[in-house]
Order: sequence, then structure tokens, then C-alpha cells
Amino acid sequence: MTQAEPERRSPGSDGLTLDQGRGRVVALRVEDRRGVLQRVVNLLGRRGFGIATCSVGASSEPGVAAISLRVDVGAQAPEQVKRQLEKLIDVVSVDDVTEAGPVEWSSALVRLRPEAAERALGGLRAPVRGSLVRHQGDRAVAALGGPPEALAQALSGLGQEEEVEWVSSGPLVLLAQPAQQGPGWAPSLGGA
Amino acid sequence: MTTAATLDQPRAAAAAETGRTGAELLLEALVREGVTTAFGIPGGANLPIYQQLPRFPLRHVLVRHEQGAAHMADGYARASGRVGVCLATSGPGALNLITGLATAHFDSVPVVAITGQVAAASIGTDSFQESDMIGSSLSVTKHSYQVLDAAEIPSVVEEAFHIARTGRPGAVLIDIPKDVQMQRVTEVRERIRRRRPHRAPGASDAGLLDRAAELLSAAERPVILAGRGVAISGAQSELCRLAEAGDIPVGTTLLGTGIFPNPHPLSLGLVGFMGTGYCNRAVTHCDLLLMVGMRADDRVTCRLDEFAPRAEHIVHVNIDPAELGKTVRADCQIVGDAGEVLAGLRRRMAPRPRPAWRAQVDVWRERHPLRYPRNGRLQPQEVLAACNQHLGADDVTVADVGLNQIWAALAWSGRRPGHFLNSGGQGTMGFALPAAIGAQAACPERRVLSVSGEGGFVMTLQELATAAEARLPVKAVILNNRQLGMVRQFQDDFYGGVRSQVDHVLTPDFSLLARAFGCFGATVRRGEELGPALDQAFAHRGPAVVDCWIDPEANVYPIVPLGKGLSDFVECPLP
Repeated sequence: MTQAEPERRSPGSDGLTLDQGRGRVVALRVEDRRGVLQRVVNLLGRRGFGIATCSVGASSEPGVAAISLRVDVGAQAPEQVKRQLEKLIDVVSVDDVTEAGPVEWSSALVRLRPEAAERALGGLRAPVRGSLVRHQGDRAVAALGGPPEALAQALSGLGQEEEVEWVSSGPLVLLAQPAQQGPGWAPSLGGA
Repeated sequence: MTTAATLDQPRAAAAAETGRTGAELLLEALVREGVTTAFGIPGGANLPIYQQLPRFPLRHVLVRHEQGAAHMADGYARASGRVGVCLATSGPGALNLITGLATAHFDSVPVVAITGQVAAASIGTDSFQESDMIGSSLSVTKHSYQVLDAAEIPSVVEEAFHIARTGRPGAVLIDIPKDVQMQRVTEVRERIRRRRPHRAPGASDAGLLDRAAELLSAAERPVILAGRGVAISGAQSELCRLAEAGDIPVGTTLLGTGIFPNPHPLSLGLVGFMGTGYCNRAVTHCDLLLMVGMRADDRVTCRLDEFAPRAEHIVHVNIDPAELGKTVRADCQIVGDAGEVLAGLRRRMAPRPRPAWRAQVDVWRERHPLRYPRNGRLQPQEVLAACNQHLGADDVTVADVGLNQIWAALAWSGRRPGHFLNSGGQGTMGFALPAAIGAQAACPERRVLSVSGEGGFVMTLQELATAAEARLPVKAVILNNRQLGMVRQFQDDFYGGVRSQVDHVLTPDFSLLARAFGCFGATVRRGEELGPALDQAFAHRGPAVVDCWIDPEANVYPIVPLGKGLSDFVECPLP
């Protein structure tokens, strides 16, 4: 068997974009401890993985925080993301759910004129949803949510409106069913 | 009210006095972990620890630079298999440990570093001698802690040692603010953790072992490459048994030097960039490659797409799953302890002689012997052979980095792992002397030889003072070619022959310098001076330096030109 010489890293892997085919969707559960995000981000950066999106917050388990990531593996073997993250002591579990068809959900806040906001909300198509969350002076802020690609499409559709500004979050990730352990890989082997 | 409060004050003070300080809890915990020796320097932010230190049964070796402390802890750990401990104050003291921690961590050596930190309330304000040790050490440690409550110190120390020594060993850092070292507590607290940080890897997947044994049995031209993981696992006899049962030649990585007997009919010696020609040929022509307890970095593989190109199957065994498939994409990846996997494979594999393959390897061994020029000038191989005569089977050699490292590895005739130490992953110049001092502290009954070039030696030579003061009688041999030799060889061979900034026009008189530090010193400029100088150095009761002026044109051969494959090695030109 001949070993592949690693390709040069493409510039795209350093930005907030996800190259199709090299992207992994990863759901992490971590000890909810100061500095844990720094450890995750440092590791990914050091290993040459690009972070396309990252969402951090609480989980249903007390003391455990959830981190949802979309990662560009660059020239590395895809399974390296999970194996490297499992080496972090404060990481409780890592699931590479790319092939498992996870539920992914992103949010966005959009600021625009009230009449434009009504137009925008009225034009949303499922599964993207939205509602008006504040009306202040001559501006309104709407909150939108949906699967990341559908939401991105909805947001790009707002481009015709004047003076529109929006921010969006990376997707949260959850499997519709509890994760199954893959064959041959006990989670306890995490890089001890 | 005032009266009552006043009356209560002494009682409150007495209650506070009954607890123990963070510094005491730390030192107690170290003793509980079996620590007997630590290397370090006191400073502003770890004084509470040093105030308590004399009360505890710990030998503290006062070093001259914190990098030396980290390398000593590393050498101590490599030579003894125990966790090495180093201490430093905040800011520059702690930052000076970083190179040493990286060196240990890259080579899977268990080291625990304890750094003082500015008071908790001052963290983040850029106060005097503040450094972000968690941030600074993230990529060179297995884990790190900043302890903000003294009550957690015992459980942090216990966990840190567990992490450092289990699974794939590595470096762990514990950063303790000065006020936490002084904080008095009456009760300790367990840290809650949801995943046990390190479990011993379970039994390796039996199906994978069956598959690997099947591949091994069926192979016509198998080769085993083995690394430091075999030494950590204590699996050198198991490796030998498997190789002999299957008549399989064995090459080792630099860090694996000593895990397979050499000479031995199946020994291929060192693999890789500066490996033996016959080992690199065997890897290039094998139809099955078993890599065990090694990472397969670029110094081993050279050009990755030409590594083991005829191997129909590659079996890779490592205790760290992240090392599997990282560079070499093996088709059979086994997570597990080297010894257990080797034993499992041997049980499943049918013994089988492979005379044709052995004969082929012998042809390569004869065609590509290790050789060096004899031109009347002192050759490094002559110095190393003379040194080896002073060393017994239990003694330790610590090599620095550069030409001296490869010469020493190729010349090393010992048979035991943990007796030839060097910085393989980081290639840290200046490693040898302090690591040898650490090894000597771990093994007072053994002779410890440090081999350096003069370039690496001057990077940490202040530790001669440590060796003399702590009565650690290391013998330091300098292979002095008055230049940065490996860089010079690279410039000659790969960078158009432009010798740029490699000459040490002025090197100190190391013999005088050694005496200035309270050590024995001798200079060897001709072959006939070598024997007497080494006799005196090894007879001397304290540390000694023997400065050997070797042929400045001496190179390492064979060598694989940069960017080439293993089989493109260049050999020593024939006279």
C-alpha cells in the first residue's frame, strides 16, 4: 500500500467556511470548567483543523457543557478530529455525527425596518422559522432559526432589503437517537 | 458586641492555625505519590512551598536554570520509570520550563511541573512576573491545572500524577497562585470528574489481533519497527520472542534504541532519516510492516509516499488512538499496550522460518555496513567506542541532539531500554547534560554518560554547577567539532554547500570551564590522549568533562537526502 503525501493545506481551511467533503460535524460534551473551550480551540488550531462554526452552552446534564462544531479537517484523516479531541482530559465524550444525519439548528438575529421585517417573516419557508422580538424606533429585530443551510439561504434572501444587518450562530447539534459506539473503538481508550 | 468580637478573635485565629496551608498539602501529596526527588528554583511566587520544603522527606536539587529542571525531571523519569517533578516560580521561571516540558511530552515521558503563580486576585492584570501558564503550556502538556482553592490540591496532585504516568505518559502542569499556597484549609475537597481521566486500555479487539496475526503469518517479507512504547510497556522480551518465532527482522526508532538486542541476527538497527541502509532497504521491500509503540513521524518515514511502498498491509499498534492513521495510514490499526498486543500476536501466529527473506536482509547488511573514514583525525566513533568500554550493562548514556546523537545511537551497544536516552521528538539541543544529571539522581549506583556536541553543551552547561553541588557524578563527553555539525552537513549536502553561520570560531576551553564549576576537566586533541583522559574522568568521584576535538568534517552516514524516500539513502563515500 502506498501512503498518500499530504496535500498542501488550502487557504479555505483557515476561514469560517466549510469545504464540502472535508467537513466533520462533531458533538462534544465537556466538563463545564474554566478554560475548557480554550483547550478545544487550541487543539483544533494546533492540529491544523479549521473551525467553521462553534456553538457553546449548557447541556441537560449538570456540570456538563455542550460544544457543537463544524470542523474542516484539511489534509488530515477525518477520524483524527475525534481521536485528537478525545485526548483532552476535560472532554467527557466526542461524537463525530457527520454521517449520522444529526439535527442541526442555527439561529440568527436580523435588524431591519419594521415593514421589511414583516415582509421577511411572511416570506419564510419551513423549516426556517422566525418572529419579531423587538421593535424600537424605526427598527425591528427578528429572530430566525432553522437548519444551517436553509437559514443561510433565508438570510441571503434578505439582501434586497435596505439597511439590513444580521448575525448568525453556528448550529447546535443533537442526534435524534442516542449515539451508538462504533465497532472497535471503546470510548475509554481516549488517548490515555 | 465589640467586646464579644474582640474576645472571639484569638479563637478564630487559633482555628485558622489548625488547618494546613496549600503548600503543605502540596508537599504531602507529592510524598504520597512516592516523590523523593524534585528539581527546581525558588522565586517570588513559590516561596510558600520552599518555606515548607525542609519539613518534608524530599531531596530538592537546586538547578541553575528552569529549563535544566525540566530536563532533569525528564531524565530522572526516563531512567527510572517514575514521574519526574520540577518546580519553578511564576513568569520567566515557569516559562523557562516550557522547552523541557515539550521535550518530555513529545517523547511520552511522565513529568509533573509545579509552577508558582501571582496571587489569584492579580491574575490577568499583567502584574509583576505574571505569565499565563495554562495558555503557554497547552500544546506541550497532556493536561494542566490552575488551582484556585487549596482544598483541591490533594485531589489535583493525585489526578495529575495519574494522568502523567498512565496510558501514553506525558507532561502535566500544576499552576498554584501564591495566596493559594498560603491558604489554610481544614478540609480537603474532591474534584468531580465525569469521565475517569485515564483508564488502562482494555483488552485489544480480539478480531483485530486475529487479523493482524493472520497477515503476519502469511507475509513472505515481514518487518517489525518498534519504538519507545515497547520500552514504556516493558515489552522488549515479548518483542524478541515474536521476532524470533516469526524470523522477522526488527528495526527501531531513535527513541527505541536499546529495546531490541544489537547485535542480533534479526536486528536492523535504526530506521529512518539517518538509519542504517539495511533497515531502510528492508522497510522499502517488506510485504508486511508491523509498527509497534511508535508514531511514525517524518524522521522515520522520510517521504511518506515512498514509505514501505511494497507493503500490502501495514499493522500499526499504539496505545494512543490518535497516532493511528495520523501519518502512515495503516490498514490494520490496533489500540493497545505494546506488550499485550505483542503477546497476543505471538499466541495467534504460527512460528515460521523465513530463510529466503533473512538471506536477503543479510545481503543488504553486508552491502550497506555502517562505516566511517579513517584519516588520522579523531573520529567520533572512536571516542564513543572508548566510552562504551567504561560502561557496564546497567549504565546509562544520554545523547544530546545533532550528529552526536546519531553517532551515539549507532554506536550504542547496550541491550536495555531506558539506558540510552535522547530527545527524539523535539530534538532539543542542551538536553543531554541536565537529563544525565536527572538520570544520575534517579540511579546513583549507575554510571551516567552525557554525549554532546559543543553547540548543545553550551546551551545548558551552567548545570555543571548543579552536578558538582548535588554530588551527581555525571561524565560529560563533548564531541567538539567547533561547529554546528549537523547544520553544516545539511548545508554541505542539501543547501548548495554554502556554509553559513555554523563555525564556532571561539569555543571556550571546556576543561578550564569544567574546573571553574568544580568538576574534573580534560581536553583530548589526539587519539592517544583519549584513553588516559577517559580513565581519569571515570575514576574521578565527581562530575567530569572530557572535551574531545574530533574531525570537524565528520558526518553522519547513511543519510536520506531531504525530500527523498527511505531507499534513497546516501552512504559514507569510500576512501
